[in-house]
Amino acid sequence: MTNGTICWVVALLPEAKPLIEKLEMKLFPQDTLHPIYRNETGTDWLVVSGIGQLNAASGSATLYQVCPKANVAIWVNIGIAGSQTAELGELIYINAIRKDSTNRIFYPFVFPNLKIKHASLVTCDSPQTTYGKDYVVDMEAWAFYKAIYKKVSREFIAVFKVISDDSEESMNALSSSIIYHLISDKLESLENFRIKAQNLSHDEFRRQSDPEIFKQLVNNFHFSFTQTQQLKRSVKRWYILFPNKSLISAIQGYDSAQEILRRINEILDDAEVDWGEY
Amino acid sequence: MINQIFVEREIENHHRVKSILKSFPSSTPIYIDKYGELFNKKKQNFRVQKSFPNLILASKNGKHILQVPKSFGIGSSYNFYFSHMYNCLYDCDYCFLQGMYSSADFVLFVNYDKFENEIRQKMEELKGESVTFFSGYDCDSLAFEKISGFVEHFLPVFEELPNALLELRTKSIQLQPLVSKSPIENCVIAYSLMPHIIAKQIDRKAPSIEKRINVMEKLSKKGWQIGLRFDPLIFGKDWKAMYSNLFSDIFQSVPKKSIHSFTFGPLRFPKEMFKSLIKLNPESKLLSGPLTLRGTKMTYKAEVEFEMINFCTDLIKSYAPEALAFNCSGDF
Repeated sequence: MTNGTICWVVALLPEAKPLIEKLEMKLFPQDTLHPIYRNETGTDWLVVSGIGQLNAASGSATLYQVCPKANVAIWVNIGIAGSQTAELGELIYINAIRKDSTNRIFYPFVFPNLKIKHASLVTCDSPQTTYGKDYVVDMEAWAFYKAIYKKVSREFIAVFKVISDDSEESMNALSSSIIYHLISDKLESLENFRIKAQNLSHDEFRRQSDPEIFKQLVNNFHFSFTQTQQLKRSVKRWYILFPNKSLISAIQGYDSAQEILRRINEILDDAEVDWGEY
Repeated sequence: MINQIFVEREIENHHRVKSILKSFPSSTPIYIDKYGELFNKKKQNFRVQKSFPNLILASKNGKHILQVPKSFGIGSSYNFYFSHMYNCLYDCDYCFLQGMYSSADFVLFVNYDKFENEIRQKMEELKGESVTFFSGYDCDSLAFEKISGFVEHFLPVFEELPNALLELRTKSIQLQPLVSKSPIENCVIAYSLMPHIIAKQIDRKAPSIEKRINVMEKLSKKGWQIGLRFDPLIFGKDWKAMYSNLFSDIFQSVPKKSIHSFTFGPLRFPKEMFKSLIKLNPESKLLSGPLTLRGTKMTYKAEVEFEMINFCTDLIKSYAPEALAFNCSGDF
């Protein structure tokens, strides 16, 4: 597995515990509005947001501020939900999210071939004891999605629910231990998702990252903001067009930001792309 | 290939929707109000969607056929284009669709009858005039044929409209339904072409040039008219030798009499679109090459562009009459 990042947003501690244990996460030693956990390698981060939409939005925002790779992470809301038709204990991959009593719908991206049942979801403000026929019901997903959708693209957001109740009786019977087992029993089924998510996050990190030499040049010479942006692109172009040619040698003797940039661009603008043997 | 299928509720009972859904028996469609709820929204990652595209079945409203720029044409007095689909199976570095849409999902407009009616109406308005209808600017005309049945539907339409010419622009090696039908005179199968080695690197997911030439040969033997579209022309080391080899390969396989037309188009991107393409594909060799801002377009230096067009035009004259050369450099 590559070093992508997954940020988990979970309402309750009993829902979070199986993930914390499996992914060997520890409480993040900083004073944050919501408790945050992370593993040693920084590939998995988790926030326990508390129940309801306000908490889900606030918990997501808190984790976004704390996680250093939040902008390239895959964001996952996982928790329990009610349903009349899905089986108790079933894991559901949410493909549409609606807020109760509104018509606005989010369509989260869904990875193909995960062999997890798909369904739509309605987020309500209070616990429900009547359930729709063709959707599951929760109290957080809408607010989670709405908060994170402002920060990352939809392909980086996922919602999973484990069906915990289908009636008032089953809802009242839910205990911390039952909730813990409902989630923990499904973590194996999420393993394929985790691999795909880590890879996607890693690819995005690579796409957005800057070459080492760019950082060195910016640290050693005074580039204005505009020049820095130009340099970033020019250095990337250099490594694509001249993978075996030293950039440092090409700019040896040039000792101002402006001269360095001009020299690199002169060479790039006269380059003939080598498409290889034809 | 297709991730999820979305269907506009309004057309859930449309016969074409039903038949398309039959091709995906394991997929449960998600019903939506309008394709715009999903397609081309902000905060979408085009590159990820390109790997896992959704199919959105929709109904097109408003105008179905649009005028092309004045400089664009292959010999008719009037020129229009129409798009039964947005986005393409292939993933070409220079494709303007990635800069135009934030989504890589396929939107297929199933109400072909509306397109057909407008085409017939336009021909009625322009009675006696020659008119070309270009298809394949927001998608590939043939690549999705097995699912869309687009060509299957429109060939008989154009057969009834002898003054109308249909251009199907493609990189596909899809032969059906063309090989199982008798060719019609007013249809050109126009292939986008570039030197093999370059296509291998920048026409991602598209069939190789060798395969495209093979298909052109088969269709020309069957009697179909072939269009050669060298658009965009790609610059680089040894470009003259590469284009010389390409023309030689084409004309060894496709007889001169089957060539309807050929066009050359310069590589060009609107400035803002170029910025988006770089963000999406920062490792592209093509986009990292020596492109410069000329007016509002990122393109090769004028002298490079002119030299390429002049060289290729002169060279192709030794294979095909100059009268078949047309200009398709206008921007949509």
